[in-house]
Amino acid sequence: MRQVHGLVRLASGAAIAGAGAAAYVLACGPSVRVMRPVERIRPAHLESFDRGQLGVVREDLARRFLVQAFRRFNGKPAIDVAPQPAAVTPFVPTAQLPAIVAWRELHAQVTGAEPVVNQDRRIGDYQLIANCLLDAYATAAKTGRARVDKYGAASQEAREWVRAQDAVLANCSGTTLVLPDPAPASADALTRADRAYQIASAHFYAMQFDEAARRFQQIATDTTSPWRPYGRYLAGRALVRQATIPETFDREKMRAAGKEFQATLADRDAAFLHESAKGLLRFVTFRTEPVQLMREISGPIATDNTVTEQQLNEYEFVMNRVFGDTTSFSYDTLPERDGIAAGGEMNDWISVMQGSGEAAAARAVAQWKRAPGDAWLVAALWKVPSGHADAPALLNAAARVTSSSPAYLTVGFLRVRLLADRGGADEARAVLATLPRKAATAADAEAVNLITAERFRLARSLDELLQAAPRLVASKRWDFSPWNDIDTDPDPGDALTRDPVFDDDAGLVFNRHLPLQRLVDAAASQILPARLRLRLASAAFVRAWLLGRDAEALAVAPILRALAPNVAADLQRFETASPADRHVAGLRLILRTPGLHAEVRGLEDDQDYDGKGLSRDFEHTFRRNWWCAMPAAADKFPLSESGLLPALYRTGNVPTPAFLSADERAAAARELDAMAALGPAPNYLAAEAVTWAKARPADQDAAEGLAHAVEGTRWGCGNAGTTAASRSAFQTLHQLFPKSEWARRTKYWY
Amino acid sequence: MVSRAIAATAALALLGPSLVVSRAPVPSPLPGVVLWAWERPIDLRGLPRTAGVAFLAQTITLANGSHLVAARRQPLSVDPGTPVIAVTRIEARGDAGSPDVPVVARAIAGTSRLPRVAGVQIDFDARVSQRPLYRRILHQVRADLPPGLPLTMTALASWCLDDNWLDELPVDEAIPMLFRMGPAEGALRQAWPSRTPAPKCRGTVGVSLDEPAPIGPRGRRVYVFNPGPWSAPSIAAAMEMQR
Repeated sequence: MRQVHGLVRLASGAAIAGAGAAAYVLACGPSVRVMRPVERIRPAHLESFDRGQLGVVREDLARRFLVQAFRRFNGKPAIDVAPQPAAVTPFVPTAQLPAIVAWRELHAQVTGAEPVVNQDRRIGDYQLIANCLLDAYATAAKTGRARVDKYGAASQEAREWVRAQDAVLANCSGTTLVLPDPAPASADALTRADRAYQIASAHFYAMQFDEAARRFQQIATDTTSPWRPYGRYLAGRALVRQATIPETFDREKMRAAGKEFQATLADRDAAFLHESAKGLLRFVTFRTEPVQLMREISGPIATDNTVTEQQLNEYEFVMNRVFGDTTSFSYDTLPERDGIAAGGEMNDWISVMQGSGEAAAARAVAQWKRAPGDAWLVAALWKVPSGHADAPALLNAAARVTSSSPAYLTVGFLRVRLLADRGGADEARAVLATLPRKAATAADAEAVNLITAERFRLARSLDELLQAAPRLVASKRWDFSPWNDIDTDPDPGDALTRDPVFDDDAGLVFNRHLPLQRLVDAAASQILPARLRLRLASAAFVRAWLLGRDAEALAVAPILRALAPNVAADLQRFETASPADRHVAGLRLILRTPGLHAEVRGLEDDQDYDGKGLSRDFEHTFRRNWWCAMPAAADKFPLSESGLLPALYRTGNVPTPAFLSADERAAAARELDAMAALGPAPNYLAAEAVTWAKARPADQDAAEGLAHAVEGTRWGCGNAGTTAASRSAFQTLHQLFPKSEWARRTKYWY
Repeated sequence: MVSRAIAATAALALLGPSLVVSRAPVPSPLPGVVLWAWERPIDLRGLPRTAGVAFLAQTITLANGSHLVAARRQPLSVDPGTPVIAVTRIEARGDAGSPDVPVVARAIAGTSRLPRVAGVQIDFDARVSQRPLYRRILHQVRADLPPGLPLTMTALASWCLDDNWLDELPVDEAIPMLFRMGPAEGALRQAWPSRTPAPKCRGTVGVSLDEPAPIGPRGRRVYVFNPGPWSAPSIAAAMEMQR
C-alpha cells in the first residue's frame, strides 16, 4: 500500500536516526556481547515469540511484542513481530543516480553543458533539508525529453524550457528566489502551461509556499494545461511543507493541505496521484490527530489474522508519537489518556502495561473487573502493589489460569512475585513447585530463568540458593545493540548447551549478603557447575586472605587448586606455608594472579565468559584485574543492566536470603566494611608488597611481587592513593633489588 | 608524572619532526560549559552566557575507500550570542579503506563557515588500526581551518590514560568522555580521579546527565551529554556540572 509506504519511510528514517543516536551514545568504550539470562525491551527468543510462544510477558517489552501478547491472550493467532532488517540502500554517488543521469543527459543534449545539481538547501538553525527530491529531476528529464521529441533538441522551445528548468532547480539550494522568464506572448499553449508550472515550482523550492500554493491552485483551474491534475495535489504538498518547515508546526496549514489532498482524490483525472494523496492524507492525520490514527491502525492489528511488518512499523511510529520512544512512562501524567483508552482495548492495555504509577494499577484492576480475561489479569498483576485491596482476588484468578493458556508462565511468575511481596513465602514456594524447573527448548530459557530467580529469592537453605543461582544464557547480543537491531544472538538455539551464568541477583547476594563462611561452604558444595564454582572459590579465598581468616583460606585453597590447575603450585605453597609465612604466600599468589577477584561477577559478557581459569596476565582492555574498592555494607547497590532485577524486585533491592541468621547478617556487614576500608586492590597489594620486601630484603620473590604490584597500579582499579602506592613499590623494587630482572623490566611507576 | 613524560618524549622522538606539532596555547573563545546537541530538534535559546553548544553538524561515513556526508537534518535554535561548536561525527563501517582525505577534511573544515561557529570538533571512535587515517584527517582539517579557530576532538577515556597518541595531534583539546565507558567503566571511574591524563585531555571533561561524573570540573571546561531532550531542568542540571 502506497500510503503505508509513506509513513513507513518516515518510521524507518526515525528508527535509523534513533538507532544511530543510541550507537553514538553507547560508543564511548570497547564493546562486548552481554550474556543475558533475561533480556530487556525484547524477548530473548524472537523466533518462538513470533510463533506465539510468549514465555513470561514482561511489562518492559516493546510495543510490537505487547501486540503479540495481547493477541494471544485474546485467542488470536500469532503474527510475525520480530523486527525485520531495513532495506539497505547501496551508496551511489548523486551524479550516478538514474534520475540525475537522465536529467544530465537531457541537459547536455539541449545545451551542451552539464547542469548544476544540488538537492539540499540550508534553511537556518543549522538545518539542511533535502529540498529537491529525485522525483523532481526525473520529472524534469521526462518532460524535457517530451519537449525535445515535440520541438527538436535544437529548437528555441526546448532551449528555453531547459533554461527555465535550470532557474527552477537553482532554488533547490539557493537562498534567493530565482524565477524563469515568463513565456513570450507568442508562445504556444503548451509552452505557456509549462512556464506557469515552472514558475509555481520555483516558488515551491524557494520555500515561498503561499505563492506556490496559490499558483498551483490556479493551474488546477486551467483546463488547457497538461499540469492541471497536479494542481491541488502540489498545492497540498506546498502547504505540508509550510506546516512542517521550520519545525514549529502549523496545524491549520496542515488541515488546509488535507483539503487539497481530498480534492485530488475527488479528481478522476488525477487518479495516478490518488495513492500518494491517500498517503499524504494519512500523514496529515498523523501530525494533526495521532490518537485518531492510532485507533484506525490498531483495530486490524488487534484482530486480523494476518498483520504485515508495515502495519506494525506504522503502529509503533504512531505510538511513539503519542507515548514517546520509550517502554516506560508515567501513566498518571499521560496526555490524552482517556482518548487512548477509548481508542481500542489493545491501545489501552499497552499503555497500562508500559505505564507506571497508581493510575496504571487502578486502570488495570478496573479493566480486569470489567473484562476478567488473561490480558487484564496480567496487566493487573504487573501493576498492583502488594498491599492492594484487590490483590487476593487477583491471586485467586491467577490460580485458575491453566497451563494451556498463553498467559500461564506470565501469570505463574507474577503470582509467585505477588505472594512473595505479600510475605506468603510458603504459598509462593508451593506455586513454584508447579512451574517448570528446566527448559525443554531454547525458547523456554528466559521464562525458566525468571522462575528460577524466584526460587533463588525464596531459597530456604544454601543448597537451595546454589541450585537456583545458575541461569541459562538466553541471549547473547552486543551491548550497544538497540532492542530492534537485527544483530540478534548469533546462536539463539544454544541456550541449553552453553555453560550457565549468574545474573546480578546472585552477584549481589554473594557479594553483599553472604558472610565468608557461607561463601566457603558454597565453594565446597558440588552443586554449582565448575566454572561458577571457581568464581565463588576465588572470591572466598581472596576475602579470607584479606580478612586474615587463615582457616577459611586453607579450607577453600584445595578447592581452588582443583578448579584452577594453573595456579595449583602457588596454592600448594600457601597451604604448606607456616602460619608466619602464610600471609606472604597468599600475597605472592594474588600478585601473580590478576584473575583472582574478591567479588563474584553477576551479569557477564563474552569477555568474562570466554576466559578460562584464573588469568595470570594483566588484562589491558577492560582492566578486570583483582578487584576495585569494595563497597561498604551501607553502600547502595550498583546500577544494573540486568533485565531480571526490575522484573522481580520492585523495590530495586535484592534482600538478604531468609535462611541467614542475624549473626550471619551482622558478620557479612562487618566483613564488607573491613574489606572496603582496605581500598582498591592495587593500592593494598602494593603496600603489602612493600612491607614484604622490606621485611625480607633477601627474598627474590619479593622483587617479582613488587614488579607485579607496580604493573597492577597501571592496569587495576585505582584511586587518589594509587600513584603514591605505585611509586612506593617502584622505589622499593629499585632500592632493594636494583640488579634483579624484575627491576630491569619495571621502568615506570604509574 | 615521570613515567608518562618519559614515554611521551620517547614517542615524539621516534615520530620525527613531521608529526610533532608545536602549537602555542590558544586563548579559548569556548565557554566553561558546553552542551552537546545531537540529531534531534533542539531549542537552546536562553542559555546562560557561560554556556555554549557543540552540535552535530554532519556525519561522515567512511567505507571501502569512499565517504558519504550526511548533514544535520534537524533544527538547532540558539541565541546570537551563544558560542557554537560544529561537530562532525565520523563513522567507519568495516574497512574504511583509503578515503580521499583532503575531500573529507574540506567537508569537516567547511562546518566552520556555518553561522557563529566558534570551534570545530570531531567525534570519531577510531580503532587502533584507524588512527593513522584519523591523524591525517586531523592534520588536513587543521590546515584547512582559519588560523586560531579551535579544533577539538572527543576522546575515549582510555585514550587519555596509558596512551600517548593524542599528544601529537593538532587539536586544542581532547574531551575525555567519562560516561558510557563500557566494560572498563568500574576501573576507569576509580582510576580517573587519581591519574594525570594526557595533556590534551586535561582542560576538559565530558560527562552525561544520567551518570555521576567521576571527577569534579576543577576549572575544566565541561561538555555535557544529555540522553534525553534538552529542557530547562536538564540545562540547569548541566550548568550544575561545572560546580
